[in-house]
Amino acid sequence: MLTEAKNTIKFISQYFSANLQSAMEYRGAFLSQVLFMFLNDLMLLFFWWVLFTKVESLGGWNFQHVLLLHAAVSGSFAFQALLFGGSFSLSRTIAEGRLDFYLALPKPVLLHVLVSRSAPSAWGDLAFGLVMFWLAGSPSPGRIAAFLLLTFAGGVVMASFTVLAKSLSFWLGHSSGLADQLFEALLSFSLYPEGIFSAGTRFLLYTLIPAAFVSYLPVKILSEFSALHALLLILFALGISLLARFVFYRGLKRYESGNLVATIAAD
Amino acid sequence: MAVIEVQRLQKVFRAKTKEQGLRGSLKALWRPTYNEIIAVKEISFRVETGELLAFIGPNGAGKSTTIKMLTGILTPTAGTASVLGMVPWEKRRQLAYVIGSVFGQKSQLWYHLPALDSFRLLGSIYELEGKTYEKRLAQVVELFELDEFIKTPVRKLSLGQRMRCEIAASILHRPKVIFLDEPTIGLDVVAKLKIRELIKRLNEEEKTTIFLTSHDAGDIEQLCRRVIVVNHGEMILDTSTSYLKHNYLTTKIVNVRFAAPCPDLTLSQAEIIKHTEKGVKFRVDTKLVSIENVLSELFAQAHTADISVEEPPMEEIIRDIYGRPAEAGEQNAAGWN
Amino acid sequence: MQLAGTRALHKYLRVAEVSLTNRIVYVADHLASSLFLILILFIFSQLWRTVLGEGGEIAGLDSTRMLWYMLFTEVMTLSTPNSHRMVSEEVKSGDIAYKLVRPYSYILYYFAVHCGEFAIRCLTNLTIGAVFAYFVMGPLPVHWAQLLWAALSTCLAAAVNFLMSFSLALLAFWLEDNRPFFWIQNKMIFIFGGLFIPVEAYPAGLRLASYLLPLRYGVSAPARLLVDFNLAMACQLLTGQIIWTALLGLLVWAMFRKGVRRVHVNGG
Repeated sequence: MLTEAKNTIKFISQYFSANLQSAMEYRGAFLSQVLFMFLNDLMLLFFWWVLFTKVESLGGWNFQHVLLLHAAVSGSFAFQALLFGGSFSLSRTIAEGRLDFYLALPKPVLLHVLVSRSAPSAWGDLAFGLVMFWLAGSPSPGRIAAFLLLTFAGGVVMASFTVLAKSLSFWLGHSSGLADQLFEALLSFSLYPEGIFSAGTRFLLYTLIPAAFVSYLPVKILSEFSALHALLLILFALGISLLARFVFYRGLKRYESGNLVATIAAD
Repeated sequence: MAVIEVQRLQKVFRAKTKEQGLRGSLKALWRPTYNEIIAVKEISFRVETGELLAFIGPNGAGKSTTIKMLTGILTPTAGTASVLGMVPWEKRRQLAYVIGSVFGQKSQLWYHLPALDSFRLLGSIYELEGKTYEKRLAQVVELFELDEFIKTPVRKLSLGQRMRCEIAASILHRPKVIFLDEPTIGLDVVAKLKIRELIKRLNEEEKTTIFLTSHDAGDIEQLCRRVIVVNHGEMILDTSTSYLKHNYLTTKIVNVRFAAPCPDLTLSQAEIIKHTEKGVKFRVDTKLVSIENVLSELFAQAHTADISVEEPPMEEIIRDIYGRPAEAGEQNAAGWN
Repeated sequence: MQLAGTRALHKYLRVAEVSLTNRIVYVADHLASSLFLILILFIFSQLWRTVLGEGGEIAGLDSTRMLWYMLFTEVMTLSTPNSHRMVSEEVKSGDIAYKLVRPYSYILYYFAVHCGEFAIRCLTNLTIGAVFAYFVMGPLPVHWAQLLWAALSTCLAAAVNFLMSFSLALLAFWLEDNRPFFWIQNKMIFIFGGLFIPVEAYPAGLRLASYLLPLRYGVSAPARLLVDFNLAMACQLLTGQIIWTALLGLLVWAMFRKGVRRVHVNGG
């Protein structure tokens, strides 16, 4: 059990460094991608800066909180893109029959698909997240470690959500459009303070579109530590990843049985 | 009257050379050095109305460059040309109304829509309206046998079907000359035959002058009456296809697979290219020796399971043309002044 | 002479028509951007309700008007087609050469493609978004004259957007990778285009920069006219749009001529 975990970590880190090295081959392109992503994320904050010159707070949150919010989203997204980059093209991988490649190999299929790709520009997102976190105030090694841990959990939530959404391709053929919209929704909701939403919406954001676990809870925990919140986050991350795994492997059974061929042909 | 007239056309490209790495890039920025590439080196020829002409040569011979100059895309470094009385690079827009072009891989059809929609659009672009367009469309559809799939989205068509639509699209406006750049590239044998048949029909029925480039020897043999051969930007042969066939395309390459291993084999009248236990590949010059003789000699020594006969690759034909000394009365490299 | 003109116009109208048809071949893809519109409108309806409450205002606009403002700016942005990517690719690969052999103007051709697609996307997004905004925030009181001004402004805005993107695409004649410029343009639209808030509400320095750049004329001019109309501002905005269309048009024409000369010399 422990060796299994150790092997899995080794597997992930091997792919991770291979992806990183391959990206670094084109040093110039890599650096400019990172820089652009950083600037990209910075532009989004601009609106908030202007807004907070007009208002004091937003549902109890001020500019500091919004900085943390953006830091958290960037960090979570970075972890998804860097470690589980294969999640973004999962629909296509399924629809084009490329799972066959992974099925023939001796590693857990879902994990393999997820770690096989890594988006180098996401280093810019990670850098942005850390810088914003630092700007939001009182950074310390302990808090930075906490930030990384929380956003890692957020990344797991995002990746799992993506897997859930894209696994629909097992049943609906190439449905990348719908899955992308859902992901877009998750990302968008994560970028705005919880306080502006009504109770009904907030319920949605703690369940079906788990923006709360991507950014709100990390912000809350970093602003004012609460063991309950931390536990909630970890449990949810665990839960949704297990759910994603379950749904994916159900779909995979369908894929293996050849039923998928009929779906692709009809597309 | 000549529809195309080319005199000492020349095209020299200047490409910036750059050394490796960042230092190289900076150096190139500060003090650029150039490499001169002579793509076309003084070509001259005339084409009369209604000709079906093949412009052939290996890759990089200067075929595409020549066509680009004749359609007005490129301006030559030296020399003159006139197409339908106009200088292509000076009157490009006017010329566009009377010539048609199909450039192998580049499509002028909208990918997600049926070819019919693209045809309608081209009709507007070439200013064919109402009844004129409808009549013309019917003619073209009949000529190229497009009825079956003209309403199918282009992305669902096979390459052969798409190619037919492309060529059909290029003649909607009744051009007097059409330039086909590698029209059969990537097609399977059946599709190639079909395209060649349709091009021939086009030339016969509408008297359209057809200028086609290819590096497929089969295109020449089955389609064109006249051939201009280029290599390294120069014209090395301008002759009729029958002459070419009779004198240069006489070599055939034969591939044989044995039924039982045959390690020893001698062919006195053929040149063996490759011989293993399993099979043999050899070259026969049918002008010098009959294939029947060679095969009889082969069959006497080995049991044959499979046999195929092919044209030699274009490169070999060119090499052959280059290698042969000029015989008396032979037409070649015309137009040198 | 006149006949040639109408024939030419007809030519480009047909191009626009085909471009429009091409867009709606895949209905799901076409409607996808409308989904995003609704998402963003929902979030911002909540945001403005919270920030502005019952009587709050930004740049003279209450929460209802702020949401409608955003509807119009987002419709503008989401409906703008990506044909500049095709242009970039064609220039980089040299395929543009083959389009030069056709009897039409390359720039006008792509303008027609842009307009055709823009028209159908704008119509769809506007309809869906307006219905949503009506139910979530209530109606926007408009005078029919405003609608006319806004329609005119929208046409000019489409031209400005086209010319901006096209000029960046033409950079492909000289640069190997012009994608960063599109990225920058995209983000600058956020800021200087007045996507979320009218630029009038910006702090002084930013406001000045926004006034000087063409972005707001492509993104928020029509929106401004619809939520808060006064004649002086309308004249000023439309004049700005016309001037920028002319300036950018000149730029594009110059770039194209210079770039195409390279094609004629160097080929693909």
